[in-house]
Amino acid sequence: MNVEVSNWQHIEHLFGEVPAKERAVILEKFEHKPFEEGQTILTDGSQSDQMFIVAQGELLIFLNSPEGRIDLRHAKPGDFFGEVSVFDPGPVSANVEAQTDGDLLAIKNTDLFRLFVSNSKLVAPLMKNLSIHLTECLRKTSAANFHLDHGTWHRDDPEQHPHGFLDWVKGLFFGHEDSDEH
Amino acid sequence: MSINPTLQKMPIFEGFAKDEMAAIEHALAIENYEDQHEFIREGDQKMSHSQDAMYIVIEGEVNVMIRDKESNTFHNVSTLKPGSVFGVMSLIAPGRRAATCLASGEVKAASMNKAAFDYLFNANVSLGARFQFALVRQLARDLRLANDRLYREICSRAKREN
Repeated sequence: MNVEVSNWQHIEHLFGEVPAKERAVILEKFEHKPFEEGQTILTDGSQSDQMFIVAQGELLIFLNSPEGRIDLRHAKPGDFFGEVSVFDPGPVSANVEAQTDGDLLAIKNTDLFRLFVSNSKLVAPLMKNLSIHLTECLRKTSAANFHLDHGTWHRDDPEQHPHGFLDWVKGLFFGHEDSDEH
Repeated sequence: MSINPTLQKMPIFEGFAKDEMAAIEHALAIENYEDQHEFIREGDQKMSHSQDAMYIVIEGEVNVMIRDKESNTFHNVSTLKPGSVFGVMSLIAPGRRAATCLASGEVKAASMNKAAFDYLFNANVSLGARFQFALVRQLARDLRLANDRLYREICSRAKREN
């Protein structure tokens, strides 16, 4: 077993109530990945088939543009990323860099698949939670792309978005006191 | 056994053997729908066990509409083509519908309602789980495409705003 049972607290919110004796079945599929401050976890364009859950520490998710780095969000204990790649392995769309020392719990596409097929009732809450998350993200992203196509993201009052387009996107996805959610 | 060749070629069914496809197809209902047929309505709560369904577009196109809260108008945020899947959440996590899906012209689609999905799952847990995993994989693929587009736009606008 790669991961101690004490790490359960960091993934518990995704799996719901699971009897203690069955937690080991799930944790066995996760790989413990410690990281150091400044370490690159994922690079835009690189191939990935994993989802990562933050056990300890903090990471930054960002894009690289011709004008420099664009910060999207910080991932803290209990947060996760890579939820697209774990179901659909492929190129990563953003960069992830450690802001502090910490630990990740990672699961690969093949391991998640085998875990679900062999223990479908046990893993059903995780599948449900991830499905809801993917659906909600798809809804918001589709809405954002629509507003981009039609130039309606700023409404009629640019002052509602003093920091510009990126602020509006962040507000749409992550909540921001200065942003107007569509 | 006779398997719909169009269905078998769809990306969502990659990796399934012929006998598995036959079992899945047995749980699907293939129908023709007229223009503007409303498959799903945004905001609707869980319907009856037979009405909650996911759909696979076989022929034609389906518009995905989301209501803008401020203007109370509907925006067509995407158009689904043959091979696309929608209504997945009705099988996995029934609740309020996230969008409205309308037929754009005549549409042929395969549907699987919750009762049929549960039957498939209970009759063959492994197949049911693999099929559910395939449905969620399709959600992830759709999100990947949408994210890539949004991120390209973010990077492009960063340049313009600077």
